[in-house]
Amino acid sequence: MTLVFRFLGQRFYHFFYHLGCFGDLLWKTAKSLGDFKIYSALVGEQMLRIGVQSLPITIYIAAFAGMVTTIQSSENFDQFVPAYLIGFVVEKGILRELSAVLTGLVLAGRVGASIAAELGTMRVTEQIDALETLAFNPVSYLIVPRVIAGTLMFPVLTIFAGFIGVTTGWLSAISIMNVTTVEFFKGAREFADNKDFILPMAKSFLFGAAITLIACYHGFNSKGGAEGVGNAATKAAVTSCLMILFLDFLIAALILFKY
Amino acid sequence: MIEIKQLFKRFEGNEVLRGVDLTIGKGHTTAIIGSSGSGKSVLLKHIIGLLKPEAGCVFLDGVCVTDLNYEQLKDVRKKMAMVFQGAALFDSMTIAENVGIGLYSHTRMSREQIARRVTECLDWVGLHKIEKLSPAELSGGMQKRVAIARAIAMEPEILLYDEPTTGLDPIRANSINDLIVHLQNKLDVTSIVVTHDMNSVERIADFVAFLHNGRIRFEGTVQELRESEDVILRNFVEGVDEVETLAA
Repeated sequence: MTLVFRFLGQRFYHFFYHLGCFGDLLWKTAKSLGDFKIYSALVGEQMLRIGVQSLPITIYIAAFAGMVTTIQSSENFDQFVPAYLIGFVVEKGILRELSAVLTGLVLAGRVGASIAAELGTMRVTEQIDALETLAFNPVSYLIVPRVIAGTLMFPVLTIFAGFIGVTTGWLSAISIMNVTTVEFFKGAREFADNKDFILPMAKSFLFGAAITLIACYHGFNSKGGAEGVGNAATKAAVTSCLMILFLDFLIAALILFKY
Repeated sequence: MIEIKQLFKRFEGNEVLRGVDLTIGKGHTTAIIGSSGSGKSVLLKHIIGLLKPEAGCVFLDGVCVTDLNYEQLKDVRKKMAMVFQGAALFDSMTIAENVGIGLYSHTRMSREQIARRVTECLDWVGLHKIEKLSPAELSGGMQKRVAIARAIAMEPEILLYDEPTTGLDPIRANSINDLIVHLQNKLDVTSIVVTHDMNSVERIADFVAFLHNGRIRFEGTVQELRESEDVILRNFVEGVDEVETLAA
């Protein structure tokens, strides 16, 4: 029994310890936004790495998400449910949920692990210490450009994902179902509202900030050589995925129930 | 002048520094020696403000470095430079960018002036026409030289070296030692070298401090080190295991 309490106590202690450290990093990042001269030149490069280089995988995922949504939904459409409603299902499913969440989950692995591994390697090889000794603020130099790039590029990737997902959904619908293009878009337009845009944008904006911050936190605090860097990358990917699902629920609840 | 007073530091219950007192004179090379894990690098990181102590203070020209806030510390760090054990060059940058990084951000020099300064610093450490290479394309010895070039680029008053010859063959190690002496004569800086290589100490140091069990056990000139009759210091200098001595 004592062991169980000790285990739980340690878990609670570690949880709140990391929460406090993460809050501290968040505060330092917010304060460092004023060091525009240092990070401004680095944001473009990070936007390229986080955003542009993630575009192929985003398109691939969105394309299959659109096709699978149509194929799986088509089974439920018969004489009782008008076929044109497939447009509604694809539009809502892809735009409101899948474009942001699937992109976020995949990029949590691709971008999150990559940032954590890069910063973790810099930490264990004393490159971050070297930056400090050269009178640089490592938060301004390393974290702020990545967080800004992630926060700006995730919504762009989500727009691409939404467009590609609906397009492949439409192409699948006119190929395998008895639906015309006009009917598909009639179904899509009939129930469309501005939340179909607000929801994915709000989600992707927060996902971008959360993934990059979590990855930077784990990378920055990695210890113990190659094993430590590997652990940091794993923790970054796993924590980011969990955070995405939590934020997805939170934003959906806030926007759909409050407004 | 650097004065270290009653410095204490522990990591997760392990007490590394237990009241270090040390004075380092201006314009000299001081070697801090001690066995592996004795806290030499930890002491060096306190001097440049990378670590905060549990108690005690590092005074730089009368100012307590350990009490400074981040902005004040940045100003102090512009007077210092550190050469890390593993060189710690930035992988994503070229050699020229590595050496010139401080000049780009902390000076108003033009790109041409920075390029000239980078070439000059690389010449001083005996490296030529490697500006466009990446750190991964250099050998360990060359990386250490680039790290020294980066350290001297901003013309610091104090140079800290963390085990500069570790991992190098004797010839490369001696060339690094000669370089440290050469830069000391040329730039007239205060150098602090953490090492456990007694050959380095003999070649480069004016003064020596021996860190043992978290405290400074010996402080003096190289001549005084040679003449010391302290058994623990003698054992370290001669490479004799303490257990063997006790058994004998």
